[in-house]
Amino acid sequence: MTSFEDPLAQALREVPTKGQRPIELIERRARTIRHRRRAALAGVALAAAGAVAVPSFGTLAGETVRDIRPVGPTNTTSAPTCASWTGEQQGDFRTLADVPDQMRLLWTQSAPQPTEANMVDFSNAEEIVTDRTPENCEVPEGTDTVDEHAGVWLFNVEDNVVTRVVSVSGPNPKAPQAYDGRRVIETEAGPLELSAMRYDRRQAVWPAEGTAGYWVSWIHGEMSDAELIELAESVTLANGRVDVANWSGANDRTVILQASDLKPDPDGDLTSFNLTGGPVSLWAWEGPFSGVAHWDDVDVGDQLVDINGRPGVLRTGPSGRLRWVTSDGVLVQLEYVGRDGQENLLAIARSVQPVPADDERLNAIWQDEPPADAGD
Amino acid sequence: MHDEFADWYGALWPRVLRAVTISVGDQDLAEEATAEAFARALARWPGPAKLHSPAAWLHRVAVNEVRTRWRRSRLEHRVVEQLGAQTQHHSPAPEPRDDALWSAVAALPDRARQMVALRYVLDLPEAEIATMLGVTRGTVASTLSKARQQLNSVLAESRPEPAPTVVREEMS
Repeated sequence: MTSFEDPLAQALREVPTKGQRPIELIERRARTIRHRRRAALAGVALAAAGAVAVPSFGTLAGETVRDIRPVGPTNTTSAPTCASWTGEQQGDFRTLADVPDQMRLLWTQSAPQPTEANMVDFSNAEEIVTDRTPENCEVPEGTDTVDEHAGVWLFNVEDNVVTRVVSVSGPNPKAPQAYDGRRVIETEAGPLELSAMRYDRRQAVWPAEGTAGYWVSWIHGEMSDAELIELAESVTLANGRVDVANWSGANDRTVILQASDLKPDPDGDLTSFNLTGGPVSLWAWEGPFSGVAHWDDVDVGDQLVDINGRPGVLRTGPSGRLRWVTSDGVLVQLEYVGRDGQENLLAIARSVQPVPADDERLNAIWQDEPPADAGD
Repeated sequence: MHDEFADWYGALWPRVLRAVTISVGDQDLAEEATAEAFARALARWPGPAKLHSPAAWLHRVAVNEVRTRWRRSRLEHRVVEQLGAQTQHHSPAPEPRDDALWSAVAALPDRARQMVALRYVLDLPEAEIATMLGVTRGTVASTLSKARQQLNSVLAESRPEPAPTVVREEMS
């Protein structure tokens, strides 16, 4: 009898529990963890002292992943060990005066008063070990074969709303695994393998002519087979860049961006300024960022908006999100948890301005140290 | 990425929360710790989705989080005592419930509760539980056996009595 057929197991699975916590709160906490991962655990430094960094055999598209293995006597009990001890970046909390002027932002909209503000500086970050106990054993990062931050992204826009997102990357040395509903379409470029990814997305893979590699395209939104075949037959590599200029799908209502201009987090943790007040939170990442970096992660249904002359992208839903790049090259993300009051997000964004280091509101809530419960 | 995590979160939350609740015996604390475990998973996404048993990993992180909070509260408790102030008991007691089974689970020793949660809620094999908790498989088996005896007796008492069988004599 498996435990699922067991009356005791069935009874235990009926023990009442609380409902699911809103995912927006999980996301917010995850972001905080990522950007405050660090210093709260005193034991971390001890662990780092007893560890040696060795280069990993596994690398991800130019990013070096390091395995950190403890030295000295090893635990010989049956307790589990980590398959990969991933290094962490340790950032330092800064004083308000240390925050660069262009990142010391505050909204002046009368809505939620900020109650928490801090900045974590990763400019002098050193790799450390997170924890050596099996309970906290960190898991390895993903090892996808396709680097979604290479190649080109095409965003079709109708009435300021994104209607289709297409990425084309390659040549990739390996063809990624097909998803469900695999179908092969013959093209002049060779057999094109189409499969259905989750959430209405599709993956297309076809040989990259003159190479041993493959083009990979991810599609969200409507695209006919004829359009897809034309894409496969027209994409080229020009001066090391993916060129889709000859594809009719790239029309005058299409925003075409190099993925390398979008990627906001090329080297792990970025120095960030954070401001939180009730359901609203603001993240500012030190740049300089390209003027299109706010397009990273744009999806079908997102709206293009204007924030005091700067282009922004607004996403609404259970939580709202608005991103833009300031004239100083700072990438800003304003978030609103919950639907009530979310319509004010754009007005709040338009009121965001740099403030001086002696600003009373900021000084009243500034944190130079990580909160006691921020340990990771 | 967001959609994939949302799907994963929705699928795993009830099971993991139930296991953590049984393991720690405090519903509020379990909910807090489980949320923290999912947040850590998202901070490391998509790594946790590729684990052999993501639910077991989440449970471990959550229970460890609870232990950390207990340690912290015990430390606060000690400091308050040293200051001669009136002490407060911070350790979470199992939640009072009318449910007899829950009461019986809550009365189990800490380690037994964890094993029960891992075996009967997360459906992990005994060998894996032994590895996770750093004990032998025999210890897991014997602990679970004792726990089963206690819980099954409660379960049997709470079951409705079977209806008496009516034997109808055939009239000749």
